[in-house]
Amino acid sequence: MSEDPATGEEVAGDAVFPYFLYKSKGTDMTETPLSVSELTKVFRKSFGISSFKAIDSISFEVRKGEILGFLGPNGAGKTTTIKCILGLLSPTSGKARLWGSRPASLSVRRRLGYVPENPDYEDAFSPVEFLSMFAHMRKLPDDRKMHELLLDRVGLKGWESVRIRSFSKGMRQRLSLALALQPVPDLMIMDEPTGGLDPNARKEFRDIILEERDRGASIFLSSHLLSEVETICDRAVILAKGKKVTEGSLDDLLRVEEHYRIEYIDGWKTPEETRNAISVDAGNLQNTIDALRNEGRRIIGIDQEHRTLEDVFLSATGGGRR
Amino acid sequence: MRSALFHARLVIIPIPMIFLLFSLFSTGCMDRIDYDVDEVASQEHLRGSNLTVDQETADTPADLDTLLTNESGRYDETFLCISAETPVETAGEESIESESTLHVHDVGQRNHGTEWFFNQPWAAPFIWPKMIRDTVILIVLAAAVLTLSGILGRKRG
Amino acid sequence: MRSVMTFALMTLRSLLRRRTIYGISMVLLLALFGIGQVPSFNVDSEGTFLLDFGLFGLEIGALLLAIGLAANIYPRDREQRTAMPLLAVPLSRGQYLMGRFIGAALVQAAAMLVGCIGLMLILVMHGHPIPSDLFPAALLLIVEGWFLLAVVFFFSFWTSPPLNAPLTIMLFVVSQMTVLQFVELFPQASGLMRFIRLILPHMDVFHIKDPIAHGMEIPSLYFLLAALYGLAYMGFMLAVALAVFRSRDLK
Repeated sequence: MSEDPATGEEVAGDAVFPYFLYKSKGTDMTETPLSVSELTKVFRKSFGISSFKAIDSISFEVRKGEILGFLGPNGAGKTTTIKCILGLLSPTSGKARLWGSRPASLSVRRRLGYVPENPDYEDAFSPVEFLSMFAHMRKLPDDRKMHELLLDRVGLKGWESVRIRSFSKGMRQRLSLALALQPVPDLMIMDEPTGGLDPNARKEFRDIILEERDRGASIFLSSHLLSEVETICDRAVILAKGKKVTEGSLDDLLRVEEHYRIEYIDGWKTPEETRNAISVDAGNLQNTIDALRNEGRRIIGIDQEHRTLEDVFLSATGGGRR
Repeated sequence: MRSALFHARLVIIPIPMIFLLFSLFSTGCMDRIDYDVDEVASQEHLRGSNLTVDQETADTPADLDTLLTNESGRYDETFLCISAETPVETAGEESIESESTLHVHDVGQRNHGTEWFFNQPWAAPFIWPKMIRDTVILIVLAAAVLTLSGILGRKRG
Repeated sequence: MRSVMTFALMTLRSLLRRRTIYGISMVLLLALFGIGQVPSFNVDSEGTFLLDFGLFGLEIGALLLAIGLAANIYPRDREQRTAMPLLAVPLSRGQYLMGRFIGAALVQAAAMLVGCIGLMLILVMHGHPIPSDLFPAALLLIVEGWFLLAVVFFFSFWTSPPLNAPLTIMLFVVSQMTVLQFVELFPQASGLMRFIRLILPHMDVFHIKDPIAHGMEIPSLYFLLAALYGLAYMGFMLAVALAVFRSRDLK
């Protein structure tokens, strides 16, 4: 048991983050947290003589309480999509909506947590100063104890008052996670949040993401680390050359339709007993089972075949680069 | 209804701004619309007039009104003209050292030494309404630019 | 407003932690000190000289401070990506611009007030009275400085810092010209030149150093009118700067 620093009451488990201290934001719970519809972005260069289509008519949505993985090779348009969602880039056509509102709306952006790729901050300030300034700008209570709790949660305990100029890349990413968590967001948009972090740090980030999902937040996670996406995401969207190539729940994406894996034992109850497996398509399943039995092999399991996310990714993106 | 009014304001607000701007520009001051005294000053101002400056007033910091009004109270310039060949000196010192460097212009003759000094907005009250006019124009323009950029921003988003 | 003022204070602290402001302020104070060391011709003209060149130094100081403080704020934020966490979540583009502007304006005003106090000290040290209009004149020069700051911000959203400085200086110089002087630059297109000169600001409304140096009293109403004109032009430049900023993609 531990003591809640805000009220002095005892709470179960480790010190929980005091979400209840923040006022209710009145989020419209019926609207989809993030909805992207036919989003296209064309960059014009050389005074409009040439152009480059970074994303082309992509559509997807992030549902309430889910973690959506956003995958794609380098240059696929992931960061461009995220910047269009946040209003940093204006789309050429299509739209992105946060709870049905435009990205420029400050009232919805204050309910958002954003972890940028390769984040940087003015290095003359300390993390607690940053949290204090962001609290003011977000119209949140400026409570130093809360800031310290938050920094402790992301693994920056003891670094609260140290100037950011002496922070490593990983520490800046932790700070950006703290800033993203500060408003108790209903939607988190994370662009490669664990890139460059060591395995321990990545696990800490994953745990925090899962805690936020369990709290009811929706997470939009862009990442290159397929194992990470496979571990924590509910659904995934794969982008290649600016277009969406596939979307679905991870179960659906990883399952190989119409393909089965039969596990059997050769030489049942003999000294030469061995386990083997064979993959067959649905049309040959019954024939294969009959043949194995006729040969005296003992069948111990029949399952639908699954691929890894890497297989799905490479297959969807044509094996690589734009 | 509220939605219609919300969208209507994007059209309603710029229209009177543009009208106000147009009416300001068409007030007839487009002919001479800057602060060049040569262009906008009245003939009386351009002709100038002479006014003798006492030694005492020349030595002490001069009040604008005192210098610019003559005995009859009319708007006037006082030009204590110093010849271009002489170095910058005060009036008091000139009167002691050299009478030839100090002279006063006749009525109707423009002073050549100090017109630059008095051809500034602070000394020409007839320019002040133009400053007010320009201030209003700038405020209207700023509001129009803000509104239009907001409208375009919404269309993009 | 709270967000804007928080960000303005953040900008102020950030600028004070950089060396630029101290460098420019030091140059300003040294220049004023140097002016005070120039041998005087006689007792009466020394005061005129100090005031004339002192106020001129403050005006140039306003220009240098505007360029030094603001030319690199947005380009640096864009290159170092420090603008993204701010613009993505807690601040709109208008709040970002106003916060940065107010922070820089406060630093500029403080530096110019220090310069004004320095000029007063120099006058006192040389045994000259301080004109009653000196402080209002310094405030008017601060308004001019804020206008120049708005111009620098405007240029910073679509040019690079090395181009920003000469553009601002060019605008400053051209705005000092009379219409006739400006038209004579290109008399073949006198109509166009007159129109351009109409659009450009009338910086001569800030020319108050001459009457103050010669001991002439300036009407209080004039200070008010000139300040309003300067603030209105500053507001217009900020509006145009925001319009440009809103149209730019933050790549």
